[in-house]
Amino acid sequence: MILIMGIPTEPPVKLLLEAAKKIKIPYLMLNQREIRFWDLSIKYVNNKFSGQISLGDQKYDLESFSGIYVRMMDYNHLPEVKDEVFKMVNPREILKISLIHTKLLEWLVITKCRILNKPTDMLSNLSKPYQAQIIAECGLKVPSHCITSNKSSAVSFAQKWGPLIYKSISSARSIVKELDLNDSEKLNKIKYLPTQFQQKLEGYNIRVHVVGNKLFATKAVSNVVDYRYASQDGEEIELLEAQLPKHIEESCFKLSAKLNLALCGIDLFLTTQNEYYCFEVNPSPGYSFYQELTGQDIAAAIANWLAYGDAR
Amino acid sequence: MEILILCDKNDWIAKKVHQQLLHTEIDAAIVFAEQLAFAQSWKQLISDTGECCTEIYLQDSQYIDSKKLKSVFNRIKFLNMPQFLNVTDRNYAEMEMFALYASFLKSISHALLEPILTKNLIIEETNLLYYFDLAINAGLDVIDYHFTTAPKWQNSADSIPVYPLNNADHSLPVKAPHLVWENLPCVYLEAYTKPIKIVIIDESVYPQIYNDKIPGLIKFAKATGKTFLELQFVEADGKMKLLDVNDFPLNASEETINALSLLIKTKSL
Repeated sequence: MILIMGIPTEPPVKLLLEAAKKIKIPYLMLNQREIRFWDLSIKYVNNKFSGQISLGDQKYDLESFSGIYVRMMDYNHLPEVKDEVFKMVNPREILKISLIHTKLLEWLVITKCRILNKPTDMLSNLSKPYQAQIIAECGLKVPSHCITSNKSSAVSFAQKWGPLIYKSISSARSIVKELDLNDSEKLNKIKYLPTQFQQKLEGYNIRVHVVGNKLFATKAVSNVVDYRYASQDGEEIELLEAQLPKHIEESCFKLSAKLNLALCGIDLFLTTQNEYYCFEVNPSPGYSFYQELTGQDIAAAIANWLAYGDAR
Repeated sequence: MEILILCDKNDWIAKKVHQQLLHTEIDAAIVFAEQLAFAQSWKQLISDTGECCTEIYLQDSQYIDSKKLKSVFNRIKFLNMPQFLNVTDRNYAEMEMFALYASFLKSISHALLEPILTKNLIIEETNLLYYFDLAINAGLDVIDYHFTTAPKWQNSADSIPVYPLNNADHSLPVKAPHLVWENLPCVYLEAYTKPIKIVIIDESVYPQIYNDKIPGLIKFAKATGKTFLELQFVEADGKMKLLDVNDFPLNASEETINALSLLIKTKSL
């Protein structure tokens, strides 16, 4: 049996539930929105770990699952915690919700079950430049960056590498924009906070999803700088299944292993000079967007990997 | 600048270590988190092969060049950005500055006493389960521990109910029998006596009283990736058992300060 942790209507979770049903893999859905109805027990007795989650008569040993899919949102942002929906959740239950989340997340760090992914391994994208250094260690090129609060450093970097784009370096989502060197009002603002400038590459984006021992590559054809927001700019996006050279596939698997992320979304870019670059690695990819537009069955690969350790 | 201590302004340990280094005529610089947040300028370049170098010009004209650093004792876990008055802006600025700082630390791994690891990129409550797991793998005993959301139905006369989250100051757990009466989540701990704190610095253990435990303690410390740890042991069921781990001690003996200073000095050679 596999354990799926998250909110069942959220698209990546929903697709995984459908895939598990279709290929007849038994699963337990631990719905965050209903977690207050569950009980949790975690023990160390004589240096031996044991744990159990239970709902009435249903009892499950934590270490009995063949695999675990984790896509939990911060419990502080659950509507019943944040907004006290319908005032149906009392302070006792909020305490229980927070402690079950805390202890489950602690357990996920030590579990011996196959897992997509351990919470502590998902932290590398809190710092994109930190992650970029790891990406390069795996043999993938990264675009040249300059992160600075000094206007003249930004201008001299632009003279060498321009045109440039700028974007956030933390996990805060930002829309990638092209730098206009004539916009001195914007450039003057970088003195308040170091800002990342990156060489703008010409070519197209490729999203790679690694699932254990399987890889899905998807080419994104769009005219905008940040294809994820193409519709906001009134532009269209086309997603197509793609093939990668062997050495790039190997680097993607190496990167997945190095980050200990058996499931990850790797953002590659193929330039017009036929060079591959890597922008970043998403440790909890919203793969449903790509699956729905291409038909690539990423959800089935996830279910198979969790159940049997083989995504094929 | 080759030897550098990075810390918060009120970090007593870092300041003592700095004094000790100066006292032994080691030219070490100390830079506070505030100085980094209000630096005159930051510049970090990352090449397409991932080579990273950082230059920081501080307001007091001190200059940090990541390529020149030989030994760095980092005690900064977070950079506050109080200059951003709006909460949303401040939260964003703090996330961005921490991301930059983490990248800077990654690029000076060769010099850091404690190399930065992905799992340490977040400030969170001590994960006791993680430390218990590593301790058992290292051959150490851990206290019998039972977290339950339904303590009323799992009562044990021999165990002590305590609050389920660790005390932020890593003091001994506080008894909380009312959690059982109210059937609120709690932790049951095995009854214990004789608490003792043990400090591990790199491969040295203080005080050196449990010689048979030293290989296990060092193995444990290595598995954590931490250079400076404080462990709380207690006696239970006739054995010394691990109760708590503090991976960011705020107090230290003279012996500990000397050991940290020596480690920084050795790293710089």
